[in-house]
Amino acid sequence: MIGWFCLLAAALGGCGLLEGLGWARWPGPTWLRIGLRGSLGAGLGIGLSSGVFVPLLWAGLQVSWAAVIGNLTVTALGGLAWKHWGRRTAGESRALRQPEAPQPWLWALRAAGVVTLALVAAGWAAGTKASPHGDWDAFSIWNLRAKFLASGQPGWRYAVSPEIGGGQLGAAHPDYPLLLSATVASL
Amino acid sequence: MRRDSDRARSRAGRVRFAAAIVVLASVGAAFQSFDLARQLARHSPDPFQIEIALLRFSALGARLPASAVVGYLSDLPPGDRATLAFLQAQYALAPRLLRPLPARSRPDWAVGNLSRPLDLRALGAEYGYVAEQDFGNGVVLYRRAGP
Repeated sequence: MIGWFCLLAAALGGCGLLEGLGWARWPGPTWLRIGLRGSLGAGLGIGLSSGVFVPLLWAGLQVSWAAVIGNLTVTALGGLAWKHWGRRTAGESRALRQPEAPQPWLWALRAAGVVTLALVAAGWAAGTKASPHGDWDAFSIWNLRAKFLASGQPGWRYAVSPEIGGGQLGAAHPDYPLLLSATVASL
Repeated sequence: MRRDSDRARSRAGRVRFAAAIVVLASVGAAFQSFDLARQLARHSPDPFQIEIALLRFSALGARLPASAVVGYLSDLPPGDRATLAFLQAQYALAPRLLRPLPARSRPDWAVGNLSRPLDLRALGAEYGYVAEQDFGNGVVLYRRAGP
């Protein structure tokens, strides 16, 4: 549960960074801006916290401390960015907004988006329930390396060892980036 | 003036046509993907038998220190089946690292992952190990014989 809260904090931190740096100031209705900022900001925050998590493990921290510090660092950066730069760039974004022409056919695209999202979520739920450890790549690469990272000291190093996968580089890919596995591990 | 309005009407028509294609393609593809996921979930749940591997190796895993490097022995010849068997064992026993034998340095412990009944002692002796415990279901714990 603490892992999920930390992840949520990192996601909010990512939203703060986007807002503060002025990277997410699109014209459009409020729900659209919140949706875009939320989805991009969550990805940015979780990605950055995973990027901090592995160097902290490397520096010798215990896995739980590495996860908490990684997530909270991103949250703090996001909060600072929002506070210091958010106001400065707010005026610029207001100037960019243009009045929109009404597009009556847009309801069909919105409805299709909602239906598509619901079907993708339902398909994901069915697949996850049937195979909780995932398909080949999930158990042989991403979740396996997450298990090593989550074990803390000294086992996390096996996640980047050429020995994983029985020394067959193509079996467990120690050369792949750690972003996804580190996110799973920090949960 | 009239030509401008005709052009705008024609452009709006093209945009509506493109939007209709996007709607049909996205909903159709998402439905197909959902149907496939549902069929796979119904007909082949856990296709790589990871749950079974976790059960098979759970008792043996409890005997090994976490984060240990452990030798790996199998009767399967190199190939896809052997790779899958190794990866199942590796996932089930992680964060312990499995090292296929023979290897340059022999770990203190080794895991036997066998596909059929055979002489456990002879297999261990071939690599310098003695059978410590047979957990059944093709899972055997070996201890290194000598230094």
